[in-house]
Amino acid sequence: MDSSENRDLDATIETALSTEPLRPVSPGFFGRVRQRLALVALIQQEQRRFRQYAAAFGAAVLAAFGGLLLAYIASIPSRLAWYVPGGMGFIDYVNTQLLLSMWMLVPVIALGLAVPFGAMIFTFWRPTARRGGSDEKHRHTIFW
Amino acid sequence: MTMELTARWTAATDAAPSANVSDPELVVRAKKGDADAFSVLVKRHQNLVFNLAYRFMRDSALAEDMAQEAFLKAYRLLNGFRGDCNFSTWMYRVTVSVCLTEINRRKKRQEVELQPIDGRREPESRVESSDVFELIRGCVKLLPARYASIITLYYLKEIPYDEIAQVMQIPMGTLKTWMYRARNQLRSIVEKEFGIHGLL
Repeated sequence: MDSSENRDLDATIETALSTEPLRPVSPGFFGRVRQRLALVALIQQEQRRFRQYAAAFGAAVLAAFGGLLLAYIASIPSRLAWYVPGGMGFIDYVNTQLLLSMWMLVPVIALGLAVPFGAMIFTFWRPTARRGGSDEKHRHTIFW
Repeated sequence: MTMELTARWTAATDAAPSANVSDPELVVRAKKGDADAFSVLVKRHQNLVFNLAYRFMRDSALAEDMAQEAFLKAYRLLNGFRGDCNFSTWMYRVTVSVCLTEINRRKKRQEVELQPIDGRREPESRVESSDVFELIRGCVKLLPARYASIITLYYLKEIPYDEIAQVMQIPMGTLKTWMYRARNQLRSIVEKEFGIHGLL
């Protein structure tokens, strides 16, 4: 194509792009967006509430475990059992069982702590199934 | 409480913040959880967002889907909007990102539009296919993503170069270079398309 034809084509392209009219939005668009936004707001609220409950449950499990551990270390059961007939023998039995069952006890306690805290962390990170990334990723790298 | 939250969003907002309230103030209110404030932002910008999406997707239904997705994404990311540009500029950025993601997704899936077996088209598209200007506008979609974005933004509402540079997050010099290359490439694509349709 020679330069005059190029100029004509450029002018046609310019006219085509600059004269494209704005299309009207469909009447129900605003309502549909608001309904979806209501759902998003609801999801966010429920996630916040879930995190609060999970945190509270995790804290309770941690407190209970910590309390038992402290009591065990401070030999409180032994001190109390001193005054109960057969109490020391029972404490010896419990200690022996704990030592023998440690291989089972540690994973159970770890699971009891991991489940609520893991659930809390998971709700912070929400992978978008379609796009294969998190909103955090889109926030920083919107284009490429 | 759940019903109340849903009702707050779907209730009529004729008494919502008026047109006199500026975008930055509405954004601040929306960040604090004011549903009406974000609704006003949607209403204010829905036309341009929809038209921007249409110029990428070239289909009204798809454009509406993309516009909805753009507003939802903007709502989720609103706390990350620092106010260093206009809300409209940021909204354009989000819309372009959503549209380009969808276009890439369709390319990867190699989706094709369904056509009637006997070659008949919908009345709207029959008119569009014979309209030279519509053919040219459709060619913008064939440009690389960054060139299509700047061409679309420039001609949408004669958005100034500095705003386009902010949307694209590139320096002005780079924008002008891209614009020059985009126009040249668009001309080549149009020549090729005109040849295919026997319009030259």
